[in-house]
Amino acid sequence: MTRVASALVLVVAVCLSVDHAGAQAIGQSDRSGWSPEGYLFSFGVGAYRPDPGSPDFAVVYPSGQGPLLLPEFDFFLYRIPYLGPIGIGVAGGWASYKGSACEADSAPGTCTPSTQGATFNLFPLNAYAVLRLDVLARKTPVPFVFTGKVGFASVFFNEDIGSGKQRGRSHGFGWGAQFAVELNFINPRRANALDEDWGINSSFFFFEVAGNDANSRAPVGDDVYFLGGVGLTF
Amino acid sequence: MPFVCLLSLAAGLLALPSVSSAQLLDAISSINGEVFVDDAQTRYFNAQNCGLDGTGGSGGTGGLGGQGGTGGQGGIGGQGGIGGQAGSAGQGGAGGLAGAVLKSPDETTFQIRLDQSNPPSQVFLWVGTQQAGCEQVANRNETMGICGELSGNPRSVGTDFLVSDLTLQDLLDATSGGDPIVTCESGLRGTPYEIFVFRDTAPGATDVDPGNYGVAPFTVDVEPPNPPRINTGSQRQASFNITWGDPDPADDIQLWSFWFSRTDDPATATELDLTSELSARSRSIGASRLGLADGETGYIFMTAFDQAFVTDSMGGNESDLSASVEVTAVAVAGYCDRSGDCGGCAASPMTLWGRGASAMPWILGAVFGGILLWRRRR
Repeated sequence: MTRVASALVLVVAVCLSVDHAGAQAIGQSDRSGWSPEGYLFSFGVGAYRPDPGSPDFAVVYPSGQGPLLLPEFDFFLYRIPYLGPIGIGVAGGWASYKGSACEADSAPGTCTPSTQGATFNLFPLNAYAVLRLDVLARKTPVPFVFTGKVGFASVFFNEDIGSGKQRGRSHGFGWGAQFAVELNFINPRRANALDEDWGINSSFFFFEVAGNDANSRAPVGDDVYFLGGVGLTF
Repeated sequence: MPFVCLLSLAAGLLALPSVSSAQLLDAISSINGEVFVDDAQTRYFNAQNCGLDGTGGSGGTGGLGGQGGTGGQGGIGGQGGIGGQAGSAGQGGAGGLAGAVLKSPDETTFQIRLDQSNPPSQVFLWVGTQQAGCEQVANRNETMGICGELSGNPRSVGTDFLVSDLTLQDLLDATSGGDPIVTCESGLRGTPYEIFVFRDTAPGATDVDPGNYGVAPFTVDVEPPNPPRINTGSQRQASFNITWGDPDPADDIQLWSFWFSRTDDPATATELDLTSELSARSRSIGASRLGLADGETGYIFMTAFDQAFVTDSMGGNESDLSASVEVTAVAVAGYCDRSGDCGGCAASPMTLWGRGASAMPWILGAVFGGILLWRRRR
């Protein structure tokens, strides 16, 4: 509880400083009619599977890659000239796995399967520093955007094997590398109208490679996983 | 003009129900002294009422020492009570309740409560098949074979609008053309009938006006449900998940009951004090609830009760025992157990779904975040 409260205070403090950072013209652009770009929202679907380095997860949950559903919200604090905005991001998602519990007296590393169903739920909650390299999309006709993320990955989890749920949390380092294609080029006039009417600067498709070592307690991190989805900047 | 015609037609259609609603609403209010609490409940005479369900069960025997074995349960119909479980020391459990007392039709009494909008001093009772229309003289003709007069007419009406001293045998004795109207035979969902309660005067040789008679519907259902269609796959786990399917053919089930035996023999099964409501299709039963130690095997059976009861939902017709599910108590381990460390902060965003106390930090965080975003946007 204390750690969560501390994290909240940190987030609040950082966000409060945004008003001052706003003087840096976060979404500044040479393009006329282009409103400041301060936020990003995306929703990705991907394949995530804990990679504990032992067969324990695989014997209980022999198959399944989630899927991982991962919404993300980024706040941009400053635009680095000729690179793109930098900020912080928060992503929270969910994945679930179904399998069969092992008989308790199974030998280590092996599993005598019982008929008891087992369900494992993951809730990754990532806090990242985000650098979004959108200079190509802003300064040239090429609509590609590259994003790098590093930060703190926390994975909450619970498991139900019929006798009630066991819960826990593991954390560790997390990273992500994203490639996005902005869609404004398809119809620039409508893209501008969307910006004027709704403040949505651009929409994009993305593909992301990410990983984390959230193994501080029960190992539930995944060294490398993939996501694809859509997003908006506004 | 067409508009006026349409209005007249609509008014006529609206008026139709009010004519038919003038028919008085009588109902069987109790059977064997048990009073129906729900006017919408179907009034059933079941196999016990008809004397078709074997002999009444005897009380169970007490537990054999220990912390007191649980008392045996009363038998339903022909099944006797079940003895309590043995303990290790101390007093035995109390004996079970005696099984439901089997009635013969002439011992099965019932009462009819009359519609109070037109209470008569005496009534003339007829019984007919469903939708027999016994208020019409043509349908009361012996050649029709659908309406029969009960013996004992006229019958007096109590000050509480009740017609008493009626038995199921009275209904069974009513005939038309020499054939009985009501019989103690039915399909799975019973056979519906109607009692026609004619006010004050005998129906005679004319049709009876709607305001001068009431109808008390009832159903004879002596057919027990089919045994539940249980999934019989054997289970090796700590908590057994029993699943079953819809009745086929369809039947009106009230609840499901669970039985257990150490051997795969229905004759040795004892009823667990576990039931599931009619809409349930699965039930989890822990090995400890069955008294199974690790590695021990037992067999779970099920029965179904239909809706032919008054107030005790286990008083309806009960099916035979289903096929068995072999269950073996086995301690199980999931990934958490095998990885050895499932601790850590429990205040996950998942608690938002359960709205537990630990959800509060997340709710506050979301509120703060929303406010900050709103401020910054302005």
